[in-house]
Amino acid sequence: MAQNRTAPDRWVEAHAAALFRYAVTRLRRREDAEDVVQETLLAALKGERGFRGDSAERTWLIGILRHKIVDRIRILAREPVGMASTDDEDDGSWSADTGLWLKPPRSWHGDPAALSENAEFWTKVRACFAGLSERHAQVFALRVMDDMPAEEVCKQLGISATNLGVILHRARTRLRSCLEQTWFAPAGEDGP
Amino acid sequence: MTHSVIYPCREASRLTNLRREQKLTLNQRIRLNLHLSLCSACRAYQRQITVIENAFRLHAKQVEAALPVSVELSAAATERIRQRLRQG
Repeated sequence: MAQNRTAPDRWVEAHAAALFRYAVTRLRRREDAEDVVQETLLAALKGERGFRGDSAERTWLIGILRHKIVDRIRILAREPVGMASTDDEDDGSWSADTGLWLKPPRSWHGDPAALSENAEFWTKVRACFAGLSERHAQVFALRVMDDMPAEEVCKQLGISATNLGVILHRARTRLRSCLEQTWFAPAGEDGP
Repeated sequence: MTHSVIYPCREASRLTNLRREQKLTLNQRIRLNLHLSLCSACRAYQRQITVIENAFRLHAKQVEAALPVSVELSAAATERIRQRLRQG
């Protein structure tokens, strides 16, 4: 019994920080991430989804957290986010007349695989993700970071397949030009 | 250009993305591949969005492990959650 009573404290100590990092990467806003971590631990305490002894505690909690994140994104997606205008505009990457690149992409220098140890690169990655509109970030987090099937993302967020395609096209294009500007070829010079 | 069999770059870029979500029609595939064979900018774009997706997938995993950059849960929030959990 004594062990049951201390479970909340123990879980917060052992897992809250890691769960938070997982959530904030996808939700971006601290407050949202803190909320879903709390919801996750509460659900775990109440045995909402039944701890199965065959999976590690952390894995079990991350499984609950993933559901809570999707729930949260679904709620956030219903809120007006004041971005309709940017969503309707073209990205500005192509000429409106000809549809050709205004600034044609050129090969990036260096081996992207070698970047994984570079903290400064990841700071830029985060900054570019932070610059996406709310809806673009939601779709990108579910579809790309969590590899959720396209149909499932559409269902969860209540958007059409066409809409999903448009959003991902713009999100990837924006992330690409953001990383090109801030990392791969700063100020039009050769890359780092 | 728009009326030609060759897609403009904007359309090639759209289909490069769409291909990741759904199967393109035969017509789209042929015309996209034709465009890519002729356009080094769109080939670079295609490679780079793959680089970016891989980076974000890796990032999503790295943050879980707190390496090499992360945003941390604040002490205040930790305490708030602890208090809330104690209430059950």
